[in-house]
Amino acid sequence: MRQDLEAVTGRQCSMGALYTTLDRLEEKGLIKTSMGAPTPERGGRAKRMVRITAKGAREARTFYQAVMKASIGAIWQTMQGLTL
Amino acid sequence: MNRFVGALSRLLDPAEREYVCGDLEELQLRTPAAALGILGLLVRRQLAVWLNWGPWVALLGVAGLTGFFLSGWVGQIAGTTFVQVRTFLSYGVAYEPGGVSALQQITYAATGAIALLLWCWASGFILAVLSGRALWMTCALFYIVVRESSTIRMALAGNIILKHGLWPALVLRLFPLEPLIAVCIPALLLGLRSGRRSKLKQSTSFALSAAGLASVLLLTWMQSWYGAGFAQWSGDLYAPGPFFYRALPVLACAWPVLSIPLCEKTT
Repeated sequence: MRQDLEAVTGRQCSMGALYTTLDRLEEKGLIKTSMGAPTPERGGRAKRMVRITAKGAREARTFYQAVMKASIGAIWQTMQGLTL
Repeated sequence: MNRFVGALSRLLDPAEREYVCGDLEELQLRTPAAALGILGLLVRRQLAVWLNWGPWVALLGVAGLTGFFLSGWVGQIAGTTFVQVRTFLSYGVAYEPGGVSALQQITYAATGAIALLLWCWASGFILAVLSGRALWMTCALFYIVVRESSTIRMALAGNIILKHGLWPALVLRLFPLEPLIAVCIPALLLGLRSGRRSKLKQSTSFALSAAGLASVLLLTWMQSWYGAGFAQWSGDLYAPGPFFYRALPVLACAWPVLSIPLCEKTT
């Protein structure tokens, strides 16, 4: 998840930022996390599995629609690493 | 993941440590990066705790207010007992200042010592209930305030002269060398354990609260013995304050025990 975020945003995502954000989303009921099975590549340790809830999907859709609505007619141009 | 990162990860909650260490293992991060990752997470966790009101009440109400007044109370009880014991051992008579009898002094010191244990236990309980992940900080500050604030207050007021200066005295006082403090620390630790792990029955919490209220009323009433003695001794120049004003410092020590029934950890 962290690698995906870094690839999409092009910015570093610290472990603390990711976990505390996941905790906040879980507190709000937007996601649900659980412990997965331990795997050898993780040194026999479990993985935190994340699943989006129905409320989370609804909120994400609303947010996406709001961003799309607000962006109608806007010109997005990337020049030398700057977003104008 | 090396031993240093493993030791650092022990500061995380057990469940969290499991997946954090797993992630570090899977990412094959170098030691500095892994250590920074864990430290960043710890700092964010600590900062997040302070967004709630609980740690602030624990910090200002228990560690600050209660700790400050408990500090004076410990000194008062220890001082009363010390003077009484030393006078008896040196001269074979009881120390009876201002017409307060030895029996009254023993009663006052014993009630104060029992109340002190109850207040320390309750302070630990409330600290554990309210502080969450900030418990290490609020608990350490509580101990420091209890040990140091009366010394600082008396030194600033000129009531004590410290042979080696203030700082060595403050450092030395951090060690629990006095018998009364050595007894109070287990009470505090038991309160912390109760607050973190178990839930109190409603009947127990009300009984503790009633005992706390009784301690406030009894000690405030007993202080009138000294008030009357001082008034007589000073030719009525010193007049003891009204009951309510005398009760305020005792209430500041006892509010954690009085508030136990309001805590979530009671069932």
